[in-house]
Amino acid sequence: MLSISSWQCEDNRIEADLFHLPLSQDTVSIDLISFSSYRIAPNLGSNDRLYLGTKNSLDVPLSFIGIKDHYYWSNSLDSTVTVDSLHFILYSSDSLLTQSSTPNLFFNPDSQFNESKSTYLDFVGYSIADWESIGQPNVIINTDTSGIFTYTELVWDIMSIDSMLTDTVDSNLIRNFAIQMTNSDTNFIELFSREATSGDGLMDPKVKMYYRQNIEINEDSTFHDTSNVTIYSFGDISIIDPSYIDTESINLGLSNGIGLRSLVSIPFDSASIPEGSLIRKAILSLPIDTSSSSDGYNIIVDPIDELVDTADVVFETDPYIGMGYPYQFRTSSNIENGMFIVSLKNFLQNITLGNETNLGFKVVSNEKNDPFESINFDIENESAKPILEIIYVYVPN
Amino acid sequence: MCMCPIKKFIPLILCLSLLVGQGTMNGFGLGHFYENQGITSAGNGLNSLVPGFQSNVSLSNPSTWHHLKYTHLSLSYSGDENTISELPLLNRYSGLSYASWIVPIKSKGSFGLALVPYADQRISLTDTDTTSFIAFDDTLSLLKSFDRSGGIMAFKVGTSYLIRENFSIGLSVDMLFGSSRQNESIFFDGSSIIQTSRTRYSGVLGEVFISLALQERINLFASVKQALRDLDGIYTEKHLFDDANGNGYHDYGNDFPLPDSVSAKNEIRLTGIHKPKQFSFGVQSKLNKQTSISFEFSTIKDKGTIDSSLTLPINNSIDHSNDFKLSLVRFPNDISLDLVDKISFRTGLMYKSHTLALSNAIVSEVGGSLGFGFKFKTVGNQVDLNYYLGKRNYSDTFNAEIIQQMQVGVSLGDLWFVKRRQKK
Repeated sequence: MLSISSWQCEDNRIEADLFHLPLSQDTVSIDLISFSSYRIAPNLGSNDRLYLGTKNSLDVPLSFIGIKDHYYWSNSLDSTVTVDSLHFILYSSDSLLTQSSTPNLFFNPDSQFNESKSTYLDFVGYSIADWESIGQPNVIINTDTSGIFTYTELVWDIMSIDSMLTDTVDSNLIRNFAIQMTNSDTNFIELFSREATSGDGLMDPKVKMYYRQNIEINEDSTFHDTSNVTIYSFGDISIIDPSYIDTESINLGLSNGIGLRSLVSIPFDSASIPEGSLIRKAILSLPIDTSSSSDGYNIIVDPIDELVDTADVVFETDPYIGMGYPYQFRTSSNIENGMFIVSLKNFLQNITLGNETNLGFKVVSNEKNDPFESINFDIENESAKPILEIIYVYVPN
Repeated sequence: MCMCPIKKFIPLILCLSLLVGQGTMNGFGLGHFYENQGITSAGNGLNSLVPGFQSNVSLSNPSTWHHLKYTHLSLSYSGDENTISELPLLNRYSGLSYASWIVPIKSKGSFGLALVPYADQRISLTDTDTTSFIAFDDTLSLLKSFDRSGGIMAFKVGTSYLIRENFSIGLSVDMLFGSSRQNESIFFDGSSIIQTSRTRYSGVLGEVFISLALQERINLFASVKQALRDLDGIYTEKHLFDDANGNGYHDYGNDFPLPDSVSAKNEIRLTGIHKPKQFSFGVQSKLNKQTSISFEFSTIKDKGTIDSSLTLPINNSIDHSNDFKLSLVRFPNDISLDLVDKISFRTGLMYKSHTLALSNAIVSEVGGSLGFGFKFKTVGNQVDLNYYLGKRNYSDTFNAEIIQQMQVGVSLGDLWFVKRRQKK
């Protein structure tokens, strides 16, 4: 019996007419989609660049960099340690950068900015006249072994302010640096922020300290050690001022520099498809004006979590709170198609399941986009209107 | 006498699964009723009512059980193979096909318990053709498939009583239970959308048996079966899901939507989905003390109606069936010391026809069986081997099937409920 129980089983599918199975598929398209745009005071804290100057009518008067607290700052107070040099370093991908094009560096020991919240509204009438001026940097153009340009270093010698950096009297010492275009021969420069690189922090803003230390091994011998330490930034931000751009002249679109965001309203609810349906695909196509938009522009589409009852279109902070994960969707523009293609399958399915309510969608520019670029939605084009196309499977009642 | 051998087999009964092979019949209605495929147990051979296990005993006819001299624990294990002709399709399974424990009571009555598979619902079907579906600018190819697993078991409680020397009656109450899981799916655009449902079954059937010895050489047998409580089903349908990981289950990972974001729909009670009414008749003629020839006829009609909520794999079910069996059995000689006389021999031919409810199509099956048994020890322990070969034809679109079945049975006799002398 046991030998028969181990008889190998086989299970092959049988072909039969399954026309009677009730499972069916269908499509629905929704094109009554409405758009509106609003503005908030822009915050560039998450951008992977630091900017200074003016571009596309947007002005960046100031950028801040905060350097972390670190126990190596107390080296200068240690009698066994001699600090040989102290450098503040920023990086650029511009191989043509010259010293005359570089910004001045300033230092202030008090808290001046919040990376995730600060906007130009916090700096109206702001001056750094009372900050400690350090001047312009040395510019070092780096190449690889083949002589091909790799990156440019802007190195400031900050030994002159080492006493401020290691001030033990100030219990609330915040090592704040600012860069500003003064006496420069250019009107716009772009540097790497701390978000530009991850891992080794090669291009991050930093302070590099070189020091010597006498280490006593025993009464008769002392070891002299030469070393260095890198101290990175805790935050950095460019303060961008879009106040010169007239609110009335703004199209439906997106821009990080202007703080321009959009709302999309789609008439979809649990009755839009048969009860119990499964959405296989739900593609929202958002046409863009290819003549004024750049390719590869990244956007974030996020369902709105709470209803906001307001007719205002200009805000200090964004009043529309997005649901985020798992409904938030990120996509890029495709200039060839002239469309953003957005998958709303997960969110729409959860509307049909009664788990979520459709309050519309917030469309924002990805924080990594160039803040001086913008994108405009083209909703008047009859040949390519915004449309939501859904393929679903259902069981007929 | 020692009961150890029986005890050793009890875990084996519990461990073995109850299976038969998939064929087209599994797709009709509530599945393939086990009595419609091959033989029911190796010890009985092709017979049902007429004795085939021992000289006067049929394992599936309680009215003959009191003829047993000892309590018997019988097990039968079946290997089934279905080959669909004109297609390279082979389905092969094996499993326990019969388990019973029968206690004779002073040759006047008996009591028995049995566990047998009642209906096999396992089927995996794929649509014969893909269909096209135009969705916006895309043309999608769709392929439907249907999978059903599970089945219905019967727990039988039987008894018999000898009313007169030549007349006895038997009674069997069959408690039906089981469950099935159905996956209906559409495959397109890289993955399947699946509708999963579950059905739990319960019902009670009753069957009355009579045995009558007309003359020394002629025995008549008959039975009537009908539902004491119709087979009902509790049907639960799950929300559709996209089986992105292709394992057929709605689980975490890539399946959409997430399992915890959907809730099961309300349960639906499906009443009266199986109401069989069966009449069986058998006659046995003894050619000599060891050999008999027999004929059996059975007709069964299912008056159940299956609610449209329960999707059937094949859109049809068996309305009524008739079967005819002709068999020859040579029983062992209990008092002979010759080894050959301890071997039993069973052979027979069978014809079955089933009429389908919706199409009135006929499913006919012709089969033959050949089996041997070996009886040993005074308690009547028995080992049986049986082979069945049949061909099933469909009058409509389905291809013919060749059915092969090999069954091995073991039956262990023992004395139960006897007061034993205490050891000093």
